[in-house]
Amino acid sequence: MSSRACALLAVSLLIASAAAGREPKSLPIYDGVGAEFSAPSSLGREVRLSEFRDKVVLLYFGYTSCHAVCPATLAHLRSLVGSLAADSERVQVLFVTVDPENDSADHLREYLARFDARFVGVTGSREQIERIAGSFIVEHARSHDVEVSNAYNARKAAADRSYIYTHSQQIYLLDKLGRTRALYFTGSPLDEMQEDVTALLSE
Amino acid sequence: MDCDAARAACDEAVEALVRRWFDALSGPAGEPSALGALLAAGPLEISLDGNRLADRAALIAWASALRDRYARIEFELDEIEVEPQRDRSRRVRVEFDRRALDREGYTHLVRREQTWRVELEPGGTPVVRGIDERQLLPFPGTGPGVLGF
Repeated sequence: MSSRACALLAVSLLIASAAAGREPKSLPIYDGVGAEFSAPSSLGREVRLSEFRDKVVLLYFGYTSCHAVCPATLAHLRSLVGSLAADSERVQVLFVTVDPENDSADHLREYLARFDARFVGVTGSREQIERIAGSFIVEHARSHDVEVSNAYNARKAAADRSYIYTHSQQIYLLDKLGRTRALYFTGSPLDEMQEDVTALLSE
Repeated sequence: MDCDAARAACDEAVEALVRRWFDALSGPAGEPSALGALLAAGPLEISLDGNRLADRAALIAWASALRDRYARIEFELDEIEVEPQRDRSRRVRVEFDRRALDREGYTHLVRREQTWRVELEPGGTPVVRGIDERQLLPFPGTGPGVLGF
């Protein structure tokens, strides 16, 4: 191929790339969604949201004996982080339990290691969790009216009987300043999430 | 206007009041001082953006600061529900998205639900006595987000 033909091809690719919208997009800032917090974690110490300021954070609320959406979401996040290659070191997944009475820091560490040992679990007192969930506008409610039988129920020593939590299932994407920049669900396309994470890493 | 006999017309006037309110807050074309004409006389019971605004001057100062903070600000009203009260006032629930472009080029999104107390003057003209609001997630129609378990 001649140098002129190569140049023409390069220009064509640039035009096609721009037309396909591959420029990093500027994500909106969701004002009033989320706030700084400090709480016990699976790292064996208190974590503050602001200590991840140099990273992009993916934050999710759930609980370890959750049957359906929590493991699916964490697997989804594992796939996302895995697709980021070297950038994955600049991304932090935080899993905030809505069942702090049963999800201790140790139990969260053991549970999250099944997905990715780099994921950090956040627990604490009921008041701490309510404050964090409230700032992210997360709803959650415990129900006793459902029969639950899985291995983790044996760990519910504090419960008077089996229960489940219904809870908001959105995933929050926070930028390096801790601002909420995107919201996803378990089924959100990984390529779109990856594109958003990459855009925030480049800011 | 006799609001007991012409309830629908009064409710339409209340809805128009709500729209004028958000037009005044929009920028750069909106004029915050126009809010003054929409307020009830006497003390106000308005809480917006975490600020308690008890009088006309405080409200207009807040609105001016909000407009000046952004290069552009606009409101999209999703729902306006007007509910007559026993004392002839109206309770209004409005849900909206606020989109604002800051000076650095970032778009800021806020979704809120406001509850208004609107009083009717003797001639039937609606005026705002109070507003409370709560933050929602910016997913229209889903409130706090889809629930799972």
